[in-house]
Amino acid sequence: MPVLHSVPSGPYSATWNSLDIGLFEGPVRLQQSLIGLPIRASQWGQTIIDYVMQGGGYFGVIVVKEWTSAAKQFMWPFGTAMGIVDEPGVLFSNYCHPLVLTALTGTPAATLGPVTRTYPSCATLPGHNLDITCGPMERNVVVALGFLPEPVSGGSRKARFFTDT
Amino acid sequence: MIQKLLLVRVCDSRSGLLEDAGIRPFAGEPLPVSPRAWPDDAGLSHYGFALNGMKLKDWQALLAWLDAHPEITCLDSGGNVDEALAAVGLRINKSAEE
Repeated sequence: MPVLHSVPSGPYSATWNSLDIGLFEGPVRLQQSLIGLPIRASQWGQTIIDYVMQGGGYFGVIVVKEWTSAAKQFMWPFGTAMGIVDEPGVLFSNYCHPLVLTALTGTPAATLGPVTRTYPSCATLPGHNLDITCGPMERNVVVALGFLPEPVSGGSRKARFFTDT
Repeated sequence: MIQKLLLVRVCDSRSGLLEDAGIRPFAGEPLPVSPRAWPDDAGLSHYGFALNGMKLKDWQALLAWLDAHPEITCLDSGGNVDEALAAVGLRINKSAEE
């Protein structure tokens, strides 16, 4: 029966550093924004008359439902014990690993795409508070993610944050 | 040596695609591709085409064609198709090869 739309609905599973993160609460939220420096001129007051583009940023939010070793490694890059932070001075990129999202087979998302989305470099975003509930309810942990880019090709100044298939 | 892997989603595949892209001379047989997270019997998500033998001008022409077809993905393969697929969460679906 034909339909009047191409809505790409369907859940996604995720691996981080090849580890299955498990079940999520709600959708995976993937965010991206442009970075630009506003241009103003006195003849135009405070009206922004243009921007000098300065790249962009990519972020994500996943609500993890399970409390497995893989989930804890994903949430806290300093180790599954979660009570330790590493020595200062290490780069964020050192803790990043690939995040691969895969659409559930048989869903519109698996047909319309992306079937997989791969962020090559991902870790919990610095400054984000993990809020871990301990009580007679589900332990759903909101994890904000930061993604780092790789160059589109050798020598290019274009930055690729993910690859869709 | 320019070695690439072209991925076409099953729903986007059509006859004449490789000719339109100008890569028929460089493309091998279609590879049955599925996500690593799917079981074998879930079917295919993509057809993969290993591209070998392109010269720089062929690659630049393909890049321009890919710009107009964002639903198609082209990866560096370095001659290792399995690794290139694994890096984006995919694999050859061996049960579909039989």
